[in-house]
Amino acid sequence: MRLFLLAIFTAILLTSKASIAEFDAKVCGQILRSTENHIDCQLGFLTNPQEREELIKGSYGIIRHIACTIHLNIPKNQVANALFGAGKVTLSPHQIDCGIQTNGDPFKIGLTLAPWIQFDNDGVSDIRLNIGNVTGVPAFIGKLIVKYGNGSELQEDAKDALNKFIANL
Amino acid sequence: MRLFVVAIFMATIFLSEISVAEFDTKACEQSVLSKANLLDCQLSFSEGEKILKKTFGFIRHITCFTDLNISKSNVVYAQLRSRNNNRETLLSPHQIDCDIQTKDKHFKIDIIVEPWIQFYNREVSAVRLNVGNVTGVFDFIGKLIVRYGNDPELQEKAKEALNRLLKK
Repeated sequence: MRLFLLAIFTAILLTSKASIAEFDAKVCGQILRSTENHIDCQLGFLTNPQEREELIKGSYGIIRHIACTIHLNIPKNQVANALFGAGKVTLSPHQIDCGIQTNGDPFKIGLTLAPWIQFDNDGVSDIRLNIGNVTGVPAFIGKLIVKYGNGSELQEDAKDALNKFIANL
Repeated sequence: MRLFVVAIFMATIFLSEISVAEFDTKACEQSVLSKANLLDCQLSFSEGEKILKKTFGFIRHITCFTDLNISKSNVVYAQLRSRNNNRETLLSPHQIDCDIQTKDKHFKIDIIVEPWIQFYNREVSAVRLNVGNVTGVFDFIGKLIVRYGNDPELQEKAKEALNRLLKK
């Protein structure tokens, strides 16, 4: 049963945009707006009602909700240096832990994200999410997730999202 | 007159919310008080704590300077002739050279401003800072600076700051 659920989860992840947009950014927002150099905080994000509906539909009612947390550790000076001249920034690996609610037993999955971002005159010119260390799932599914997470399509989506964010500043 | 010209300095540097104390106007005092029509001197400005707070710690310190080149007569003429009338003056383009300091690095950035000032009844009725041509940073960052510099709200603040100084 567990393997079946993981297969469904992986299938959804690999065949959709898998957006989970509802962020709980209270703590991180405070630190971001402070003068502290390190954005060192826990960021939570989960599926919003519309995404939940899509998730349930896409998984034939099996997966009902995804909630994740990420511990951010971003030195502001590294970002500022990249924006003002260095042109690129590599962030340290960030652990993401997700709880997947199903119509049966819930399960957990973890992975690391160590983004590398490059800027040019137009904004973000290249991005590598560098997803790795998937835990909580069998190795072969972990490899599929890493492959998808580091695939060109998702990097392109991440780049577009970041550029849209910059354009709206 | 001296206060008026100093007020012009403030508005032209587009950081209208910043107090007078953060500008170093010493180099310009002689030029302001001289009979020469051209106000030709270097004006500098630096800010630490405020920029740190405003940028949420991304920028620690900023120092800027510009070589002023302003015709006193043009500005005074526009002001004096503004009774029941809109009178305007366009200052020549000024390059502002800035040193931006993050926690561990320095960066140089240049901004061109070409302020336009309108008087009505001897008060400043409108200001356009005309911020443009930012160099030393990626274009997309430069565009954000230009957008901020030309934001109507900032023009309004520049106008208010200039009028406050004129009344002193």
